Amino acid sequence: MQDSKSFGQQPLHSINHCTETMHMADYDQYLDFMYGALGALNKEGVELSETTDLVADIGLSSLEVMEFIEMIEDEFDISIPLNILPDINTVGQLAQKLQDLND
Amino acid sequence: MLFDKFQTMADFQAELAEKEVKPFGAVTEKFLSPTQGIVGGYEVILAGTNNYLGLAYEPSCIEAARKAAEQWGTGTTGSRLANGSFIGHQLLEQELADFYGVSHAITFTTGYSATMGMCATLAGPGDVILLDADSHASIYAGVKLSGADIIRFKHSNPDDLAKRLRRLGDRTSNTLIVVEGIYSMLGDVAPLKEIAAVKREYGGYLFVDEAHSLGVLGATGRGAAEAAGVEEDVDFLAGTFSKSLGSTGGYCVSQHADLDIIRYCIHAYIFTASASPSVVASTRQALKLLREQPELRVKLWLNANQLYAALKEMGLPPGPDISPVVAVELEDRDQAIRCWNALMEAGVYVNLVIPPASPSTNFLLRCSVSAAHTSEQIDTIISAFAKLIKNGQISSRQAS
Repeated sequence: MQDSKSFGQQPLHSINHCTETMHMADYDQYLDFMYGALGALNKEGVELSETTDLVADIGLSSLEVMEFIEMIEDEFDISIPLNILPDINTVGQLAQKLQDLND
Repeated sequence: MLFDKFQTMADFQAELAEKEVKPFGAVTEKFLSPTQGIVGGYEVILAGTNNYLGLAYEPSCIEAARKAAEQWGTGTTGSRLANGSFIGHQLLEQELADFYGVSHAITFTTGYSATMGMCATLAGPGDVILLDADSHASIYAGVKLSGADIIRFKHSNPDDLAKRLRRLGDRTSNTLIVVEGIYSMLGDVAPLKEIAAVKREYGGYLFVDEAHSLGVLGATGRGAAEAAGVEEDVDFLAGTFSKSLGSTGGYCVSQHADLDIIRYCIHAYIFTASASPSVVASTRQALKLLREQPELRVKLWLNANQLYAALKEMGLPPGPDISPVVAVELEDRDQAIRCWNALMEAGVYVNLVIPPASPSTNFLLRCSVSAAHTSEQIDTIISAFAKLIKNGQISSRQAS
């Protein structure tokens, strides 16, 4: 089930390459940042891909999900509405949704 | 199976039953005085009732309720927009508007429906609601119904609010900012002065729920916004009758004349029976007493200070602010349950609060003090907590 686009854990300091794009980041930039941001929260070291489920695969608690969301918000200087969260399970879905919100 | 999702709760309740404790929905069998009763078989001081001004058992309020029931019957049997608007409902709204110095007030059958209904209606699809992360369940329920984009900001953090308002740009003109006065679980007071300043800088409409601060804060008891001197910045102020006024019901007042039109759009107002005449009558009498007897507030704060200072002194960390809500946070669930039980045995009823009702993953022994408590009763509550420490059921820590 794992997509070809897999990344391992990355330390947080290696993920600052998309700060300059700020508001209008695209799918891949969101994805890249998320792989890095999940490093600290991915305690089991699950291999990350677009189809990785934040709760079912990585086992994030609801508080950790909010922590993760806040990291994305601060990186891209955006606010992510709570409304979109019920439809989001995987990293890829979240990146897609964030790109859609830009339009 | 439809019921599968309730299994965790069923297991928890079964565990409590096995331990023979009933912290949730403990039944009050009898009142012995305004502050004492028999709860779940224990004779206790009631220190978890939100009866801040002690008006829930006030003779003149009881008399007003009795007379109204005789004159108007037991219930209105209808909605405010149908047959359920009696002269008492109208007078109560006028008296609330007068109390707040505004032209408009709406009353609701419960406090929950007031905040839920207002939040669900004020903002709609395309609008934005910025709410404090620790908002009450009724606010979360309302914003979910609204269809607006819901964005949380960090609890009582004006900088985070400012950051998120800045990100919204022009959309702030369609943004409702939702905060509370005193937060119900830890008793912390919202930094309304700073929040109002952020609102002035970036725009938006400010909604403040004063459920736990009506009659508690402010020079005339109007709440946290009055205490912070920012009432002019508050666009919508909501509250409840079920704490300091000792009845049930909720309200919203506003300086905006449009509030009267919004009334006709709030489902939680339209599609429910209006408050019973006796409830309206006792609420009006209690509001009168709140205004005429500031000494109730003085006594309430004396009691709050006494309990807060003593718990802090003995190394139990209560919430960040002194207020009539005094909560001791515990990390361990079983310890919290044991302590709650020990307090009952020592003759003190407090609220046991578990996540998600508590704002973090912690468990709370939540006390709420009343103007009707005597200083001796507060001492008894303090002694009961001291006994928990002495018996090793709770450890004394340096309050932060």
